Amino acid sequence: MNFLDTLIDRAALSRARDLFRLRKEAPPLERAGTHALRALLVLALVGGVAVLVALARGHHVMGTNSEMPWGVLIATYVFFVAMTSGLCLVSSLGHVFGLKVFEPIGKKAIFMAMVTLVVGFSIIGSELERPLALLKWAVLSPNPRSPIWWMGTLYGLYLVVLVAELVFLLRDDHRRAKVAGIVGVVMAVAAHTNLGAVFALSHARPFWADALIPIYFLAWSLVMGASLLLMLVYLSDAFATGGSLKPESERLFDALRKLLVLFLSIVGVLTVWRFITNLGHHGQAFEVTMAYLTGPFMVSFWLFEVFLGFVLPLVVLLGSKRSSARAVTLAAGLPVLSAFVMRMNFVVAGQMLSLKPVVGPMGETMTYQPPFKGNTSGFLPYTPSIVEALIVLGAVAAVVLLVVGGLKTLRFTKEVQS
Amino acid sequence: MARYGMTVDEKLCVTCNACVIACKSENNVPEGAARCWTVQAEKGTFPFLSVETRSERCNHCENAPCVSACPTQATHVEEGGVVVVDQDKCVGCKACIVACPYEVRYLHPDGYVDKCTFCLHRVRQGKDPACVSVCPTSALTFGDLDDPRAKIFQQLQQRQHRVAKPEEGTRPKLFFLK
Amino acid sequence: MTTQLGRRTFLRIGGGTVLGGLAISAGLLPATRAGATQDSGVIPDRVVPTFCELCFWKCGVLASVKDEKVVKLEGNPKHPLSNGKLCPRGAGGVGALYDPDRLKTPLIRTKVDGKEMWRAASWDEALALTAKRLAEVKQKYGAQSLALFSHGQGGAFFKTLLKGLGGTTIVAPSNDQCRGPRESGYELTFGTGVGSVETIDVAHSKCIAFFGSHLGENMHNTAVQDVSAAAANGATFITVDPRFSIIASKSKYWLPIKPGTDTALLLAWAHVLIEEGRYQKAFIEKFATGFDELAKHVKDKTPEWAYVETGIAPELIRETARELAKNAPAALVHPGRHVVWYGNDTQRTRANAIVNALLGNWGKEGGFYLPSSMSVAGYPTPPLPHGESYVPRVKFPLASAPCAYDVCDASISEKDSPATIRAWLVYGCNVPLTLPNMARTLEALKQLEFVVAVDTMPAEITGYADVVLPENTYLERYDDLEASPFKVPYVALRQPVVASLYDTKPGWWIAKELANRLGVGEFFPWKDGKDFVQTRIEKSKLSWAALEKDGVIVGAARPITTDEPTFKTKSGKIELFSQTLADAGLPPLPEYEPPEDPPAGYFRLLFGRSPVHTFTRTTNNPRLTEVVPENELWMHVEMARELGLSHGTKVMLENQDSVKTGPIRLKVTERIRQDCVYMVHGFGREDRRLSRGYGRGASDTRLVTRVVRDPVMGGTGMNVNFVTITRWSPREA
Repeated sequence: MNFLDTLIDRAALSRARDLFRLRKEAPPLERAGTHALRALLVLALVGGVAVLVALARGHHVMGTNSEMPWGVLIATYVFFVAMTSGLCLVSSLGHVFGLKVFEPIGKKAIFMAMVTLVVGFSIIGSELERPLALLKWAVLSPNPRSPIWWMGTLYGLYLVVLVAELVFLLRDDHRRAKVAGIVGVVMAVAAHTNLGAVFALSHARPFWADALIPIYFLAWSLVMGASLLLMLVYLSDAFATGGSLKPESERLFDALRKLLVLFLSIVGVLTVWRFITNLGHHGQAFEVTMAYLTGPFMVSFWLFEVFLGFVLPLVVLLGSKRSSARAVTLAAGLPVLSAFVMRMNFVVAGQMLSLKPVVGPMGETMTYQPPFKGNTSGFLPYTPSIVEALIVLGAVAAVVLLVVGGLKTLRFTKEVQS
Repeated sequence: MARYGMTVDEKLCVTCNACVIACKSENNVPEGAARCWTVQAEKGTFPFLSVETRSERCNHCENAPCVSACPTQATHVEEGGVVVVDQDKCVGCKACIVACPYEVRYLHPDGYVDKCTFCLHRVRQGKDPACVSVCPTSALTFGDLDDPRAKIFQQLQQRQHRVAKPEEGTRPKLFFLK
Repeated sequence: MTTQLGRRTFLRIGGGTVLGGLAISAGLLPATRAGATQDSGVIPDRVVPTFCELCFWKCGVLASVKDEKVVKLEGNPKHPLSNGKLCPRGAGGVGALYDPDRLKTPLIRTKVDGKEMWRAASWDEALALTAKRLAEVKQKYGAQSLALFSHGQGGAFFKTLLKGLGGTTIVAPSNDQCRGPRESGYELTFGTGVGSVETIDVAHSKCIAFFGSHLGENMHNTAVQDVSAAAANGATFITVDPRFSIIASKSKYWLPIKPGTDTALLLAWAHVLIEEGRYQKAFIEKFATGFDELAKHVKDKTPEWAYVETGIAPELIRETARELAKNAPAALVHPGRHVVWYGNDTQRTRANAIVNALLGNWGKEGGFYLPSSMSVAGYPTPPLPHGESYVPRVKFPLASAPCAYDVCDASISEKDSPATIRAWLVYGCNVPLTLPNMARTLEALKQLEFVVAVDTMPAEITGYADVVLPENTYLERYDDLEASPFKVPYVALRQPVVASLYDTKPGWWIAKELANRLGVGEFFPWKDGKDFVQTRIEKSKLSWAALEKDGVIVGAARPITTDEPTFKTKSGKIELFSQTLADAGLPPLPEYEPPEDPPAGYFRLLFGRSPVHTFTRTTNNPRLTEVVPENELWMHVEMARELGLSHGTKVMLENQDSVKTGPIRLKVTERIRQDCVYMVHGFGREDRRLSRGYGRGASDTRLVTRVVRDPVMGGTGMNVNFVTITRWSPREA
């Protein structure tokens, strides 16, 4: 067996196209899955084209502008790399910290972490005006005071660590895998809290400039890690069994459920205190928080972030005695959706108050010439462009496809899959 | 080493926008963007009214958040404390736009972030920045903040003045004379 | 331009990797942007001095050229009007040159299938047609049936053309639609008009009262420089304006006067100055006549009386009059510029002049200065014929020049009175959006037998012309020399900065070619525009080389103040009491006439200027429209609340003659009285060829359907129109 064969099942790889082949005689669930994969493939390809368009045309095809420079791509990037850290941290409970119950999912989790990070990189690459210049100048002209520089550096190194960790895990090189795992845990925390600092250090945007943000980001990543792994456990069983959890997965499933409850609760507490401290402040942070509570973000905040993302999942997860595995899985998926909405809101909310407001600090009526897009009354609008939307959809599709493909073709278990 | 700054005399400025238009020609600023702009701030109730008038631009902060935010040192401090963007090194991450409390930066259609340079290319030739040079009301004064012979030095000694958003701790070098 | 790693370049190298992130990991490194420091700047190939034509002030300009493109315009430090500075319009003059909507070729109106259309024509054809038609009209109706509307430096050539043809009907909206009454009022009082540039020493004045004069928004370069200098010197400003203008915001006193009552305030000031003995007694005694009549006339014009009319508190009237007196003679009531407001404008200007006389500021530092101008030889030309004047339908006793409004009137045939004007030659005047009562202007344009327009931009007037002759912009042409009276004598040169961009010609060439075709070429004996100015400079013993290099020659300064002023009035003195007016059957002392109040639900329509625009001339200029793309309608907060309208709402205006314009965005503000609304003039363009100006904002001119004529000189008082304001709905489009 050569090196690659220790990682990848070539036979399975050659059968990868079968994933998209519809078998008439297949059970309905599998047929539905095939349809879904086909649709995802189309989405991913369209998203790929959108990435190329974004790379070619830059901000000319984005919904962002100089008043609202960051948009859905930044939110999506944060969304995916939060998954990376979360998957890494939760799974490390097994192969790094030795909690046996988590061991079965270690390899798959690290693989998924790698996928989400690579897709995240693609998104930030298409968001940057000149991604290649960043590679060059981050090395030749580094600015260690810049959180973005640290972001690039940490996530870049993190990808290397993840690849190494995955290789060691697939090769069952447990000693090296553990070392890589420990480094991976440190990187996961460092990279993602630093990403929080990209926002937290933006003093000019008081809604972001909050010391809780790095911690908040980290807590959210744990929610996503637990949630994704819970779904992974259930879905891989369900496709094999036709809809139910295998008995040997029950302990792991339950452990993930409890972790998810814990992490959600932590996020809940952090959110409450973020909002209360913001309300206690004056100026922009207060205004933006009110936009969440009663303003333009009201629906998406109370419905998506609070009810669907927090209340409903907690009710279902805590009532698991009466909840089926399927219901728990669905409930676990909701915070992932909520996480996307939360990031989207967070990114937009931080920039939504114009720095050139039409009402001045002393209540003056301000007139600017030339007129800027941003000095209208109220909040700055942002709607993702078609290109941005397609990149986001394509990225989600790409993650699912790559995870499914990887699960089918990588040697996660000793026995060669048939 | 000079420490360049600018004053805007709100008593004299009439917000005619000559500064804006001269700057756009001088620096070939693309349509839809501006490196400087004018502000009128109206206060009061008829007939007890006031209007503050001024021209605004990059503050060339001594403690510039944009310089800290830039991952590649594209935004850097040039001679005289002038904050300048190196177009070549700018990757278009927009972190500087987000970091700036004054919204003085914009994304150039060619994919880099652009802003006021205090017309450093003119200053190096011993000229005033274009906005200062054109100003029909002589409301703008540019010079070395440390040079007691400079008009700007004397203005800041004698006249009441303020900077934009002092609470940001950025230590701006654009001063508004009352 | 810097070369840089374009997105396209990146793709060509990187190729079609689906995921950008993967492309990054392929390790491609970008090429660098050569010389890409943000602070590099442009080094021009040459700098050409010339003078500006964005407005009538004519400041000296230095034009930087790089690769045969004008990259920037700066003030000429040697030119006394610019002192190295420019107003925004001057700085944005590049936009006039590179406006993609410019007139690019001669156009001839033609009919295709009954539909009127433009046809691009050669110069030869367009000039031949123009000459033929003008000759026909002259043949049929006489030379006095030809009228020239002229505004701008190149108008000089067309004046010569018209006069050469025996015509005399030369009009400018700058007379009866602008400053005519002021000139009349000052001529009647001091024997001399105020001129353009106004002969007032604002820079050294210690107290200046502005009547509706919104300098700062009205951006005459030197005038604003002077106001700024006065402000920096700590001068006291008094601003009398229904609107809290920018200059009002710089003023110690803002007098938010009821529109149309300024004469009452001026008479009350005269009352205070005389009753309190605060006028310059020695000066008046020595240089003025009619003081006793004046004193008697204003005896009952008390601040209390004026308060009822103006709404300005008596104490404030006294205080401001005393403030002026305290600083006299370095105190000044600004004579204003656009003064055709209510019809009684010459009389109001007389009141303004009388207060200045009482302040004793004529010939004084900080008052009215004695201008001097460079004496420049003419080009040896045969004497022009002495043509007959056309006879206007309405005559004004003291009109010094024909009124544009009357020429328009004389172009319309009425039942018993056929038109006396049959053809218009229009140079740089957008007549439909300049003259009041647009419907009437359009009727004239319909009836005229021939209209030729010379302009650089498509405009409403070119839309109604039979032939359009596209002129070079001021940056592409020689022009007449500029040597207006000023504090120092000077002569300035306009010379081409770059070659013509399109098939356009300079005004001198167009006029000369037309003259040749009309058989009056002898009045254009010079070879070309350069010969015309160079020969005159050399004959004047001035250095052509210096003028070409510097753009201006400044003569030796002469004293601008005097203790022994002389006056060109009949009496040789300042005529506080005007016998000339009395002889013409007009009030010899300014009478206050209360303005008509707006009917219920109506607002008085007031208009003014933006610092960035000159009338309609600039409202398509790419550089300028970027900064001020449209006008707004100012309305007081309380009125907007009553009408249920909010800031930024698009509204329609309708005047008392059911003329509607709009939509225009509302500016809801405390900065204006409740009985009037205000907008900047020049917007609401109607020519679709103006890609930036068309449909932006609203035109005040369309709403000025009523005028009150100045009984002295025929000015068209235009602030007498009332409008209602309603929310605009897209269905009205």
